[in-house]
Amino acid sequence: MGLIKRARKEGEASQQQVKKQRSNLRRMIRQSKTEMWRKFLSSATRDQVWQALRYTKPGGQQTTESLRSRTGEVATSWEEKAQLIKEEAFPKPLKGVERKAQEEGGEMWKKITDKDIQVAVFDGSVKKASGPDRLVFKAIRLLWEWDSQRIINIVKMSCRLGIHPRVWKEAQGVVIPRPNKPDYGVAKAYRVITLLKCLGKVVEKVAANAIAEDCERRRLLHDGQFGCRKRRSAIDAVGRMMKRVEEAWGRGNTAAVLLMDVKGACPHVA
Amino acid sequence: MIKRMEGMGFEADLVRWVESFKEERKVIMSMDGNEGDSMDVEMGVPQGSPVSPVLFVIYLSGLFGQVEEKEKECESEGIFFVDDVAWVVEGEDVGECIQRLERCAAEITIWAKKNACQLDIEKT
Repeated sequence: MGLIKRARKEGEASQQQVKKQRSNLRRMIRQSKTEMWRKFLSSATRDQVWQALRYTKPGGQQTTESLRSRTGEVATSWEEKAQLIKEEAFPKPLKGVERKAQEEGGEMWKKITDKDIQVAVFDGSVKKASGPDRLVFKAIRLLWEWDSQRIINIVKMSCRLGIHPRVWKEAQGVVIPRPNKPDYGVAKAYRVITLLKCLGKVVEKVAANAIAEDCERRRLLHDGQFGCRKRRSAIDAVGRMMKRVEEAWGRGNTAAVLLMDVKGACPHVA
Repeated sequence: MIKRMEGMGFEADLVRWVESFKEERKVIMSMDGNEGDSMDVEMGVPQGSPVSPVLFVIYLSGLFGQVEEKEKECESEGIFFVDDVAWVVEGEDVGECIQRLERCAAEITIWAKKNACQLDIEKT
């Protein structure tokens, strides 16, 4: 694969040739895998036959153990367990209702171009998991080829009205155990991956870009804020901290740093 | 969040969209091959969405001004990487540094309480 990539980079091969070579390579791998499996089966000894049978079963599917709630009750049915994990992963708000946004006006939607929307559809990986509707990005790209105006209208309308349709607000919550936890009998040892519908994510991506651009253009964020900002990586954050510490040393002073962690970033945004 | 975005001068349609995006969210839990009924999610933003990180950054941006303003003489500086916070201070000796950090920490706690933001004490 590395050779193919290099050939493409150095202009020795065209895009088409690269594609062909790549699929050749994949086919070869597939074929030799099949061949190995056949060989293994035909020469299997008595014990290996049972080994082979195990290989054919879908792996990894285990039942989650019983969970204890904070009050000490034990959840055994999967519904009870899912409820406990849901409560742990999605906390309840501490305060009352927040103020409501203005019902009309705003001109952000006018700044959103067809190109912005196209980028949101074609950016990102096609391999991302789909939400409850099972429509993957590949399907949405096909829809774009077929009727891009429909997608453009939906995105612009959603922004203009300020309405994110309810169908896109229902996520699939997949429970997976966190690695290396001492006790898998408590809800905290599991994390919930929320899978969203891909078409909704297109609108969300457009909105995210609009917000981020506005933040940078009007310099709304603090210089010390890193992460999910353009041209500001984790390395830059560490660099900034080190610079501050070294400056202090340069003045013959001592520097101290307090490190903290904001609890469960996303689920706690009020 | 809404108040914060309006205060920062975002266009009304965008603020309205964020409000709509955040409210009435639901989740269908699936585990061990089963799929449950749809349940309400009362707060937060979904971790899989492309807007969530940027909303989180906006949400936390209020913390800077407050601490650096209130504890001006500490000359502290906050550095964030998404949800990881580092607060740097300078002083003539360790004792002074600790004193300053304690004052900043107290201010951070006040902000967190007011903004319904929880700090993970176990990881701190």
